[in-house]
Amino acid sequence: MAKIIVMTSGKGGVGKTTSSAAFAVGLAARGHRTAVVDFDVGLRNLDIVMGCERRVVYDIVNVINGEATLRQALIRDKRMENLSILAASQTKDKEALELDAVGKLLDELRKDFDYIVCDSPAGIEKGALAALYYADEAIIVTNPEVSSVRDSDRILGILSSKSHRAEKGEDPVKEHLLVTRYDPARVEQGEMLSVEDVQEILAIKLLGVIPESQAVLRASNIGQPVILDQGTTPAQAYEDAVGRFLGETIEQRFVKAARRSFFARLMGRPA
Amino acid sequence: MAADPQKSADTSEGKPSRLTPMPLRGASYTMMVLRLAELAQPDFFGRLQVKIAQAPSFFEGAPMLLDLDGTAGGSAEDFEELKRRLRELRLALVGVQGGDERQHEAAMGVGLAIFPSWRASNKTTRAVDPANQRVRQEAPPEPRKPLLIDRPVRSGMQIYAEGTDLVVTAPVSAGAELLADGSIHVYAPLRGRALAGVSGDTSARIFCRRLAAELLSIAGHHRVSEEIAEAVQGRSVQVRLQGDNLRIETID
Ligand SMILES: Nc1ncnc2c1ncn2[C@@H]1O[C@H](COP(=O)(O)OP(=O)(O)O)[C@@H](O)[C@H]1O
Ligand SMILES: [Mg+2]
Repeated sequence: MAKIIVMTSGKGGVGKTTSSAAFAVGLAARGHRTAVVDFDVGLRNLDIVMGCERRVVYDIVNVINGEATLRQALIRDKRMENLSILAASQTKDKEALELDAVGKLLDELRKDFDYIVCDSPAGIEKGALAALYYADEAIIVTNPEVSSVRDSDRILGILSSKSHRAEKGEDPVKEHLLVTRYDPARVEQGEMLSVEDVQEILAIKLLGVIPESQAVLRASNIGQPVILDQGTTPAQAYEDAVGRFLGETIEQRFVKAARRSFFARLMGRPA
Repeated sequence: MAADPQKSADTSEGKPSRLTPMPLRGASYTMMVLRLAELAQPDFFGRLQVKIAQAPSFFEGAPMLLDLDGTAGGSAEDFEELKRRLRELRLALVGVQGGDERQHEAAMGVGLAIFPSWRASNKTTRAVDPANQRVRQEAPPEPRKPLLIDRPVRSGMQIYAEGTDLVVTAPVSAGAELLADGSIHVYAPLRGRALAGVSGDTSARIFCRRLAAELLSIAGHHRVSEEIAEAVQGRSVQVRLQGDNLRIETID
C-alpha cells in the first residue's frame, strides 16, 4: 500500500523543500518507487533543488486541469530511475488545488509508487491544506526557534482536526519531528532552542536533527539534493532520518547536550 | 419567534421552505465583567488602562458586561457615556447584569442587552428546601461526565466543556484555549489559556501538572502570565478564587 508523506511546517524557509528532495532521494536509493510532488504553486523550487528545472514541460496544475496526463507531467530523475518529480507551476493560480482533484491525482500516483512525498508551501491556506489533507504520515519540519515551533504546533492541530484521516475518523496521521538548521554552538549560547526544548513543546517523536551547513546551499545551487553530497553532515543526518523513518534504530547524531536556554524560559519551561 | 426555525423561514414567494433552517445558532462566550460599584474608585479608567497595557491583545475589542449589583442609579446618558469611554479603550460594552428594572430600561435604551445574573440564580439554588432535598437523595441525578481530551491541544485550537468539567491528559500549547463551565484539569504542561467557570461558577478550579499558562481565569477573574508569580511557574498547581483574588498554590 502506497504511503503519502507530507513535508510541512506552517512557517516558510525552514527547509521543507530541502527535506522533501532529500527524503525522496533517500527512499528511492533504498529501492522504493518514489514520487515527489511540489505543492508550492507560484513559488516552485523543488525542481531547482532536484536539478530538473529545464525539463519541466507540464506541472501539477496542468494535470489537475486535464491539460496533460500524469504520465506526461512526471519527470523521471536522471540519477535514479525509480524516482519521479511532479513540478509546481510558476505562474498559475493556487486555487486550482481543489481537494477532490488533488485526491484523484494522488490516487493515480498510488498505483505506480510506494512513497509519495508532498512538499508543502508555507502557511495554513489552500495550498498547504491540499498538501497535507491526504497524508498518511507527516514530517513536521521545524527550526529551533520560537516562531517556527509555534507554527509547527498549529500545523499539528490542523493535521489532527482537518486532515482526511481526522475527518473520516480513521487512525490519526503519523507525526514525525524533523529539526532542521540546527546549530549546537548557538544552542549552547542560548540563542536557539535545544532539540529537547522543541520536542518537549511539540510532544511528538523525533525523526532527526539536520545541522546547519553551507553544503545545503551549495547543493541547491548545483541542483543536486544535499543527501547525495556524501560525507557532509546534512547528508549523513538525512540518511539517518530516512533510515529511522523506515523503522531502523539509529542513534541521534549532531545533537550536543544543551543547557536550558533563554528561549526555554520564555516558552515557560521550569528553570 | 416560532419555536421551530424551519417553519418560520419563509421564501419570498410566501411558500414555507422546509430546506433552509433559520441561520440562527447558539454560542457561548467568555466575557469580562465590570462592576459598576468599582467605577466610583479613584482613577478607575487610569488603572483599567494599565491593566489593558499588560495584555493588549487579550483586551483588544473585548466584549464587556456591566454588573449593576449593589447599585441603584444610572440614566441612559450615563450608560451611553460609559460605553463611549470604554470604546476609547477599545472595549465593547455589550450589556448589563443584575440591577433593577429602572436600570434595565435605561440600559436597553442605549442598545445594551440584559444578561441574567448568575449570582441571583446561585442564591436561589443555595436556599434548599429540605423536602426537595429528600426527593433528590432518593433519585440521584446522573452525574454530568467531564469532557475528556487525550490528544495535545495545539495552538489555535479551542475546547469548551459546556456545563461540565474539562480533563486534558496531553500538553496544552501556547496559543490554545481551554474553556469550561466547571473546573479544568490538565495532567500535562499547560502553556495556553485556561478559563474555568466561564458561566460564572466561582467554585470552579484549575489544576495542572506544570504551570506555564498564558492566562488563567475563574469566573471572569483572570491573570495573565506576567502576573503569575515566578515561584509557581513550572509547578503543579491548583488555582481557585478567593473573593476577587485568584489563588495559585503548588500541589507537588
Ligand atoms: N540544514 C541547512 N543548513 C543551511 N541552510 C539550509 C538548511 N536547510 C535549508 N537551508 C536553506 O534555507 C533556505 C530555505 O530552505 P527550503 O528548503 O527552501 O525551505 P522551505 O521549503 O521550508 O521554504 C534555503 O536557502 C536553504 O538552502
Ligand atoms: Mg519550499
